[in-house]
Amino acid sequence: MKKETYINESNEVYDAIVIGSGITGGWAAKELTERGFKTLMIERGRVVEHRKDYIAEGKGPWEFPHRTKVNNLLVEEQYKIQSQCYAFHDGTKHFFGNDRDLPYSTAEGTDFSWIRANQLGGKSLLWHRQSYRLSDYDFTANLKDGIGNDWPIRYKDLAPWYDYVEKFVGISGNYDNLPQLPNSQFQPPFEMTKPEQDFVKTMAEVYPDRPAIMGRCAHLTAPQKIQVELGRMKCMARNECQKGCSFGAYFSTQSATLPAAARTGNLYIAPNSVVESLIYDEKTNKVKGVNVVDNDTLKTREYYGKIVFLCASTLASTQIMLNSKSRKFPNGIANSSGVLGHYLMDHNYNARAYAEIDGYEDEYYMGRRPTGIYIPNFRYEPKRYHKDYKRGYALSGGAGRSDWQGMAKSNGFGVDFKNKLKHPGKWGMSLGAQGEMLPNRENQMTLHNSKKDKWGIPQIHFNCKWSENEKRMMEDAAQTAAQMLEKAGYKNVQSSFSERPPGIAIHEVGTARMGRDAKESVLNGYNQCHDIDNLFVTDGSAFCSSAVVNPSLTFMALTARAVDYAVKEVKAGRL
Amino acid sequence: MSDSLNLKRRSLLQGLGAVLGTAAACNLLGGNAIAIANAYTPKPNSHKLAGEVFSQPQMQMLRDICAHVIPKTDTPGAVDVDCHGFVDHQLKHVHEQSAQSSATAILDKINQVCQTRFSKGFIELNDAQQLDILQQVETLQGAFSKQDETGFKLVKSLIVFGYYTSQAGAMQELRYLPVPGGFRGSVPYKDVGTAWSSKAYY
Repeated sequence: MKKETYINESNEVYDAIVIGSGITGGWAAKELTERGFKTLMIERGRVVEHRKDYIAEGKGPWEFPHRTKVNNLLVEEQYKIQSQCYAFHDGTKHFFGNDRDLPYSTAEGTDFSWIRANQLGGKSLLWHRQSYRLSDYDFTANLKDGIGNDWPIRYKDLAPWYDYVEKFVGISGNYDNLPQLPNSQFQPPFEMTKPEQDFVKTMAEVYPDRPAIMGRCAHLTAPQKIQVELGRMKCMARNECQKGCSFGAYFSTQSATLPAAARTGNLYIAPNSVVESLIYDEKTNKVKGVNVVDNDTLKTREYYGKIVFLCASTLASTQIMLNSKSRKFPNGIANSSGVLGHYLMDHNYNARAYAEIDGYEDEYYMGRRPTGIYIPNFRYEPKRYHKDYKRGYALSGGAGRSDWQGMAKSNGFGVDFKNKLKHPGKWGMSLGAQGEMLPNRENQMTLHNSKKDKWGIPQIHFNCKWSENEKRMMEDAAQTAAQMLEKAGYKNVQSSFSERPPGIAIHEVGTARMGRDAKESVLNGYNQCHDIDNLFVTDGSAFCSSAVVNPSLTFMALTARAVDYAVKEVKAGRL
Repeated sequence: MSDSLNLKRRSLLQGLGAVLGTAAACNLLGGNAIAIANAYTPKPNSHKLAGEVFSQPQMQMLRDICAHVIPKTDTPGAVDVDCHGFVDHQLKHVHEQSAQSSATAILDKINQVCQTRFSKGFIELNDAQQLDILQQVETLQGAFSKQDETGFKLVKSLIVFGYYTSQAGAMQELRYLPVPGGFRGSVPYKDVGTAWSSKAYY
């Protein structure tokens, strides 16, 4: 990135302001700059330069002080919550927020795990990269069930935008032609292991309505010109993605949207700029800029823009809106409906099953695949629902061979033990549930009435918990996954539950939802605030339902579509 | 590793150097990389010093246990990479107080059993006697019971972790593949010959 891209003080009125630099903010900046809009991207954290700042990349475990595990005192004092994330280790901890500086509270009897990534690129550096489209079963689920509000858009509205973003991102996957999981624009899928291939065949016979497919992920398997010209390369199957990838093989802001935006010459970035609130102009009923507190010096400054894309993440965007109070909007900007902060959702990952597989001793694999086997939601419409709960879940996992880690506690000593660990152990397969969470008005984030963070911004107070629907779903998912492993002929089938709170799937959505009716939603079908036409919110906060699939691909499609709409509105003189 | 797998990898790395520059490519390869100043550094004499969790006699005992779990063969063993020093260091800096206590307690218990049975400490026993005692702990025989299992399995799994995440364990004993070049779902095991070694994170 050129030095002059980064700004600090500026009185300029930009064509557009983008708040946030993660998956959503990166897309907003790319689309706006490519359409000729002089755009200021505001990021609360430090600059992370592609390649240069991937400080742990390519290092073997012996090169870390504790073989990639994190010092216990450091975890206790600064990363107690972040360390709950599967991707948190000594090679990635610098991309996670510091819990000491980022406090929040939860209502009595509830818990919420808020995983943070406050730097340029945000969670796009740390995400799990699994990429799936929503289907019309998802867009109509609220309507059919009479739960939550109806999405104001349908699959046909978003399909061309999925096409558009996927060609740029690069999604590996197989054309499976499933009604509940529309195809993407694919690059070749990753290969299955031999037991997985056989599992797929068995499932097709035993459960024809529950196809098992290869996972779809934002990794280049056959890079196209659009990716190569940004310096991106084929995935090397290291599966160390969260340390940062100098190959640019997985989609991140740094690898893809940022260089695309920068080459237009229209991109400016204000790093270390914590957005405290939006500046509302009552005369024009528009947002005219943002109030910022410097991340390091705590000094305040303002930035100005003609339109504002709020892409700070579901919870952070909602926090900024709730904290933007005025005479007209005493309860948060664009919140005449009163739903801002309500209907917080995540996914429930609390059930799984595991089994051992006999045989296949001559079979092995090479490389570390960044995705796995996926069984899409097979309870995707009311007539397929389980009698005990609504909606459904996907199962994801895969088959691999046990290694020294799995055998570390097994019995034995000496040369025999060493020889045992020299070779791979038995094959096993795991399946984990990814369950939908229903929209529920009671699940809410508010601003704490007295506690503030070090930037003087009111802390978030969560009141969010699993409902009986999610709990019953997980009971069924564990049982069902175990049955499928039994039917596959596997041994020692076990299922288990965990009690992890909402938040830890890091798929939080729903707190500034879209809708047709301004009285019951914050955003219209183009992610534009009903109340203020130059304010767009395009991250997960716009979701009306969580659906089952990983949400990031949909953030991207919604964002590209919203920018297209906004640009047309500006050019038509309506905005 | 078979030649076909090797060739594929070599050509990949050449291509990578062309795109990223040799220095960046070498940095990415990682495998042979430079040690980091603050990483745990093996010492030749850990067993002669008091550790951060274990006393000096316990360090000596832990060293002998390391030798029994993963001995030196045609590749280095756990003692050669100072797993006893590593286990002590790791327990102190990564594990909780309760785990540290559990580890020292099982060593004390083993030593007591040796005193009772042989009127000698563990480190004074010959190899066969030591192995016999360790097998008793592991199978919860004789003086050992279920309550000793957690502590012993903790110590053993830390030795295993220390060995296979060491450079020798990862690169000499197993096959370390920092940049596989892509994923192949079905490879004949005979073409690989040993298990793939560590991932780069735990």
